Amino acid sequence: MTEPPRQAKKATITSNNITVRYGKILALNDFTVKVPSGIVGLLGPNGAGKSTFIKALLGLLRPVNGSMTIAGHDPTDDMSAVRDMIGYMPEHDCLIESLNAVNLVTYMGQISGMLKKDAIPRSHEVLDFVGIGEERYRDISSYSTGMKQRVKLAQAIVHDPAILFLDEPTNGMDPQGRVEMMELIKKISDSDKSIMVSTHILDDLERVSDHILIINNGHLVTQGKIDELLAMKEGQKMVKAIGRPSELDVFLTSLKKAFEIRSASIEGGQAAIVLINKDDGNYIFKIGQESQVQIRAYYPERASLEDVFIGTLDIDNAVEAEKADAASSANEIEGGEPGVN
Amino acid sequence: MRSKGVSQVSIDPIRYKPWTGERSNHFQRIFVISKTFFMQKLKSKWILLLLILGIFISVVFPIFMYSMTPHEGLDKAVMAEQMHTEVLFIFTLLLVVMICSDTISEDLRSNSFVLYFSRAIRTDSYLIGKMGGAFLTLSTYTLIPPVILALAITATQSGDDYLASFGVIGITIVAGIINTFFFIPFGLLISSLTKRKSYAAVGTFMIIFILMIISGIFMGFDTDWVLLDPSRILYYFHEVLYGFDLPSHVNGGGLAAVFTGFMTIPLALVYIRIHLKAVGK
Repeated sequence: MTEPPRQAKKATITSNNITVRYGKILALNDFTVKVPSGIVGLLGPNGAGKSTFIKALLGLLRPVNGSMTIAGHDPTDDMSAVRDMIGYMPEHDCLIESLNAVNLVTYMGQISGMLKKDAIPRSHEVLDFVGIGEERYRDISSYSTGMKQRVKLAQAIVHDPAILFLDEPTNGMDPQGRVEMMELIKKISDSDKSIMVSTHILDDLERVSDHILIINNGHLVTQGKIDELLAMKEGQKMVKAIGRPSELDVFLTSLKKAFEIRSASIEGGQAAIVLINKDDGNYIFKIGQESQVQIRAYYPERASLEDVFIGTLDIDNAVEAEKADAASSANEIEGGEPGVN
Repeated sequence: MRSKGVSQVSIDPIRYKPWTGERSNHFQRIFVISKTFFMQKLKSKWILLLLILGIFISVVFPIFMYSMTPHEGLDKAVMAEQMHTEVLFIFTLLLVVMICSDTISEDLRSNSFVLYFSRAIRTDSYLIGKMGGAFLTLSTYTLIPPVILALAITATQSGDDYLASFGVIGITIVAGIINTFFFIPFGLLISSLTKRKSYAAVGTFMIIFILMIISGIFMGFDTDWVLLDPSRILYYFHEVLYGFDLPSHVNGGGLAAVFTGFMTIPLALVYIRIHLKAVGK
C-alpha cells in the first residue's frame, strides 16, 4: 500500500516564473504566484491562462521554465503524489454517459486509490451531499446540466482531496442551483480544503471566496484578500439628484471638476452619479445648491468584484498597449537606421 | 434492532465528511480500469451472443468430436489446426470489432480523458488498463476455450505421455495469448481516431478485410505480399510456435518484423494520440 501525502491540509500552491507555451503561443509568461489556502477565486478573460495554470498544476503540461509546488511537491516530478491530493471538476462535459452516477463516482473513487468496499458507500455519501437522490441509478445521459454539474463535483471530492480545482462549477445552472452549488463549495472548504474556483460569474465568487487572483495575458495582474480588493474602491458614493436637465448637466460638470466620476446617467430630470469622495458630502451639497438641483440621496456605493475585475483589466490592458507601442516605436527607429546610414 | 442498524449507516445530507481510508497501489488502479471495462462488455447482449455462438461452434463441437475419437495424446498438429480455423478467425475479428470500437472513442466523445488524467493515472496506465480490459474480454473466446479443448483432449487420451500433452497445452496457452493480443492494438488505434464507435467498428473490420484482399491480389506477383494478410501472419506464427517449418516462400525475418510491427506501431500511435488529447490544445 502506498501512502500519498493526503493529509496535506491547508495545502499551498506556489509557482515561480513558470512559462508555458503552445507552439508559438505564450500561454503563461513568467507566472509567479503564491496561492493561499481557503477558497481562492481565479479570474481572467477567456484565453488569459487560467486553464493552462490548472493543467500545469495537474502535471499535464510541463512548463518550459520555472518551478511549481503543491504542498511542497513538484507536480512535474511527483505527479502521482500531487494528483492524489487533487480533485478536479472540469468546465466542459466529461462524464461517461453510459454509466449511472453511483457507478461513475465509485469508479472514479477506485481509480483515485479507494478500495471498492470504501468507494461504494463513499460515492453514496458524496452524491447525497451534492443533492443527487434516486436519480443516481439512472444513466448520466438522461441528466440535466445542473445534475451533471453536481455529479462532476461528486467525482472530484469522492477521494477527499486536500485541494480542489473547480472550473466553472456553476456553468449552465439556474440561479437556485448556483446558490446551492456555492453553498456546497463553502461547506467543503469548512473541512480544511484549499479550493481554487475559476468562474465568469463573479457574484457567485464574491459570495464565497476568501482570496482572488486575476490573470490576464498569461501573467498575474493582481491578487489579494477579497475584502482588501473591494476596499480599493473605498470612498465610492452614489449621488441621486433631481432638477431640470440643463441644471443637472451643470451639476455633473461641476462634480467632474472636483471628483473622480465612475458613472453617470441623466434621464427624465433625474441624475444617478457614482463618484469617489473620501471626505464628507458637504461640498457636493454645496455644488448642488449652486447648480439649483435637489439632492435626494447620497450614500456609500458598495464596490463589486466585477468593478474590481474590470478596473484591473482596463489598467493592465492599457499598460500592455503602452508597452506594445513603445516596442513598435523602438522597432521603427531601428528600421530607420539603414536609411540614415 | 433495525432502527439501530439504520442509525449506524444513516447519511448526513448536509455536512461534508472527510474520508480516512487507505489508498490502493498504482497497479490496483490499472486493474480497476480493466475490470470495469470487462464487466461492462459482458453486459452487452451482442458480445454475449457472439461468445456463446463462437464457443459452441469452435470449441464445444470439437470437444465432443475429439473426446469420442480414440487418441494417444494431445497432438501438436491438432491444436495448431484448432488455433487457426476460419471460424475462430472470423469470430475473433467480430469480437475485436465489438470490444475495441468504443474503448477509446467513447472517452473521446464524452471528453472523459480528463477524469482519468486529473488522477494519478498516466497515459501508459490508461492504455494498459483499457488493453487489459479488452484482453480479458477477448480471452473468454480466444484463450480460455482452446485451453479447455486441449485439457479435454488430454483428459481423454489413451496414452501415458502426459508430459508431451502438457507441453502442447503450454504452447496453446501462448498461442491463445497471441491470438487474443494480436488485433487489440489495431482495434484501439482505429477507436482512437474517431468519436463514433460505429465508424471505429466498420473501420477496423474493413481495413483488415482490405489488407487481406490486397495481399491476395499482389501475392501472384511477389510472395512477400502474403505478409500483409493478418490471417496468414497469425497462421505462420502458429506454425512456428507449434514447431512446424515455415513454407519456403515465407521470409522468417519479414514475418517477425511484420508481426512485431502490427502490434507495436498501432500502440505507439494510440499512445501519442491519447497523450495529445489528454493535454488538449
